[in-house]
Amino acid sequence: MVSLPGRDSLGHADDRTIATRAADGDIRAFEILMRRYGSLMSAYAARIVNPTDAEDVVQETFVTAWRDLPNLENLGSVRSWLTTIVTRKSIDLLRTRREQQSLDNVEVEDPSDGPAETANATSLDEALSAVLSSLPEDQRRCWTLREVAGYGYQQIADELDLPVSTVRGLLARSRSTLVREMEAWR
Amino acid sequence: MTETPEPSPTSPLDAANLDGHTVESLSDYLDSGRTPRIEAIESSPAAQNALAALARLRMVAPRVIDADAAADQFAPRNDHWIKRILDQIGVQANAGRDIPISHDVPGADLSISEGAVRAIVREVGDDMEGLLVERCRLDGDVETPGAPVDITVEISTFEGIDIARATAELRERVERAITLHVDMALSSVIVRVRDTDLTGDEARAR
Amino acid sequence: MNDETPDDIPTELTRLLRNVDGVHTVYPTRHIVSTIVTAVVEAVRNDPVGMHLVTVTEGDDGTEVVANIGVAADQSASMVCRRAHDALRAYFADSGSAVPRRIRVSVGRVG
Repeated sequence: MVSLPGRDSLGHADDRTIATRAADGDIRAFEILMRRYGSLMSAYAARIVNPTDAEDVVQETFVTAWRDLPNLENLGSVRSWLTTIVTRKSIDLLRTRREQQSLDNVEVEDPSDGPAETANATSLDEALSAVLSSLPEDQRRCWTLREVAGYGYQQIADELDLPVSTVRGLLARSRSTLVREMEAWR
Repeated sequence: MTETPEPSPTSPLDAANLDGHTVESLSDYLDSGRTPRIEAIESSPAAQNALAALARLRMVAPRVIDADAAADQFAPRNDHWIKRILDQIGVQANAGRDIPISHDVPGADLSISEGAVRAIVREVGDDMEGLLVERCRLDGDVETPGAPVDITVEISTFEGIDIARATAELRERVERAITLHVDMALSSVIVRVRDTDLTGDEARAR
Repeated sequence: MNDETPDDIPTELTRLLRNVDGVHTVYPTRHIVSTIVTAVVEAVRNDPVGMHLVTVTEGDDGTEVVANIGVAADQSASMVCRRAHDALRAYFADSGSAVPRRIRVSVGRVG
């Protein structure tokens, strides 16, 4: 028999309940939502923008989510709804950065982390995560938008302001590298 | 490079293993759901291997992000970000209508937001055992002093509580709290119970 | 012409409200989630310098004061709101200034 005090049980309630409360204006419920999905949103953002910008993107994501939550029809799907927002916000930030760079006319070095350190990985997922980090930024970004966010080639090309052929090439290279690692785990 | 991972010496996507196809064309084929059928790909074992590898990679893709999240790899180092967001969203979003508070002083324009009243109702529910207030609605012309207002409270309950007793108590507590805080002609408090499925598996097993 | 009074009156009114029994927070009176989010947050964080939590506007027909407060749950929100209003009104009366044409106080949060 479960009979928990309401106040403590909110943190254990399912997504739909929490999102419903937050949509109704409950800041405490919204805080629980942020704690529940902050890491996931950061992980998403960090794979599209560079990790140092991820925190800003996550912040924007949740501010937007708070505002738009009352309009979300299926409150049980709040997790995937948040990932849609974080992807959008990441792309917006990239665009802002691109505009700044073209204004400043600076060459930006590729902040890829160098060779993957997969030796310590204890699972395929971890190993792929390490390889993903080692990819050049544009490859990692394209791969994430395609395989995780489900964007099409043309959409990625439009959002990143790249020719479709370039996107195709970047995806092929990222897939080759990741498959090589994945096969090593078979 | 001191730590050399040990990748397989060959990969199904190595150019030498693609039987004349390219990763690009195979990816396109996979993306198109393998239609229309391309015989040259379907009849090549090497191309089939490569396709299978690409499909596997696609399957594990979301898990990579989940693994990052689980490892808190990119998570902010502390809770400041939450505080910052809470500062930003403040109280005014979703505040709803203004419910007037009477005060017999010229120029006084006092009110409490609908959102604040909903919060009072939630707090009342949170102080009780065995239930959670999910949503709360104020029906009526709340902006006109003295107009009758109905409050509808949607709750979930936990397994094992006496629902009839809990709803009666909630109704009474809500009335008391509203009367204390707000100048409102409360005509009724309606409590609706959703299915009792709110906390994880034990409760859902019902 | 600038239609706002100097910064120190809103700041003083904010301080005064914080000392009213039952008031636990003074919120910004502008819309928070908007394009000027950053500016408002800065204002909140750099408290109390440069903040306009309480807005004071001078019009042709007098002064208007707008405040948004959070109140404790253990007292009547209506009572605390009236108390906050009276404190604002008394500030002007006690300092010999004209009493504002309108004083708006809204309760944004209870508890």
